[in-house]
Amino acid sequence: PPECWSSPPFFTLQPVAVTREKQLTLWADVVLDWAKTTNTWSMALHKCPLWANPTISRRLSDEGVAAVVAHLIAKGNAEWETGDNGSGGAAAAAAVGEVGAGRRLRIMWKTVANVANELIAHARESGMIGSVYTVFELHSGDDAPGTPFHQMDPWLLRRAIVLLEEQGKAALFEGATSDAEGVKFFSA
Amino acid sequence: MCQQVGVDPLASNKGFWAEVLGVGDFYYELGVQIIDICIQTRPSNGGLISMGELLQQLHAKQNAARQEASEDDVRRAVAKLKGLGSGFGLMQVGKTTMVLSVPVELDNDHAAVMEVANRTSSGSGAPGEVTVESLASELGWPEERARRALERLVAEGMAWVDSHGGRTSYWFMSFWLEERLRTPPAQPPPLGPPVP
Repeated sequence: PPECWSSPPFFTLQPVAVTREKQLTLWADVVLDWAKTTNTWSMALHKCPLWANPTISRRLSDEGVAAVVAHLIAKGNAEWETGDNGSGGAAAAAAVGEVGAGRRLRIMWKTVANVANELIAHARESGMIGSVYTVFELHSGDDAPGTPFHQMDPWLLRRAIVLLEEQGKAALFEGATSDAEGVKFFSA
Repeated sequence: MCQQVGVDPLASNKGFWAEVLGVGDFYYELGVQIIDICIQTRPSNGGLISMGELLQQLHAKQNAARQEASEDDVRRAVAKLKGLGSGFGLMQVGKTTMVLSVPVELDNDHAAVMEVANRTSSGSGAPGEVTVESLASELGWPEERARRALERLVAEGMAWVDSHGGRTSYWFMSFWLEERLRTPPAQPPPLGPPVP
């Protein structure tokens, strides 16, 4: 993890506005970097190993964690798995109340738009146009390893497909579960 | 409070016209780079950066084609920037030269606090870390005076607050970073994914 994560004051939510802004920006970098390195797309918030650094005996308070999460949500890089993702004060207040309750947070170190673009590009380059693929096949099928979608969480793939459908580039076929849903990609 | 730079800006052969006109060429470009770096790092250090860290950042930006800036070059460039009334200046804190890039009035109390913070052998903690108590003890001040100086420096963004175990300490990120540059610690092991 980056240098700042080894600095004790990094784990105290800073009182001065300008310093806090910088701190939250750095925290966002730390979280997204880690999510990318570990290929994490969702997690139980309190199980994230970033909030405490035992080497320096520091731990970010619940309020601090809530501020980091609110910042990530505002930037479009995170959302709660269930419940209100609102905007501004409502989301932050809900977050503070929920931090200890084991809620799951989705982390989008790639945004939905990024994944959608990669998906349609991949489909067109790989001769996938016209056939129907299940979401399961996309992340865990025989051809999945080596693609950017290998082991990607189904909820993210589904969101990307929905976006592609809105853009007229694909069609979503609903199913009983995320994994059972299908997609048909259209050519350009 | 800012020290005299003590450099004669005309005594240099790095571009005759640069010196005469005060613009263009090596020092002008260096000044622009210094301003850039100070602006980028200001949210972390409040506008106070050590010469060591500034030089490191400058060398990272500069490519092999142009000559690397020396500390002397930086002093000259800062002297020029100061001459433009830009709020730039140098500040000596113990053995460390700091470049101040904000027009903030720092008095002797603030300088004394920074000097204590900069002492790597300070008994209270790591380099760059102080507490109200350790300051008061080192400087022979009443705690209220130490607290006031610290709070001003925190408000200016030059120090970060560290609250843990009921105790509050203050970190001067510019000194902490300078020390990390001098003696980089062992890399911590990479963090694994969350336990499911």
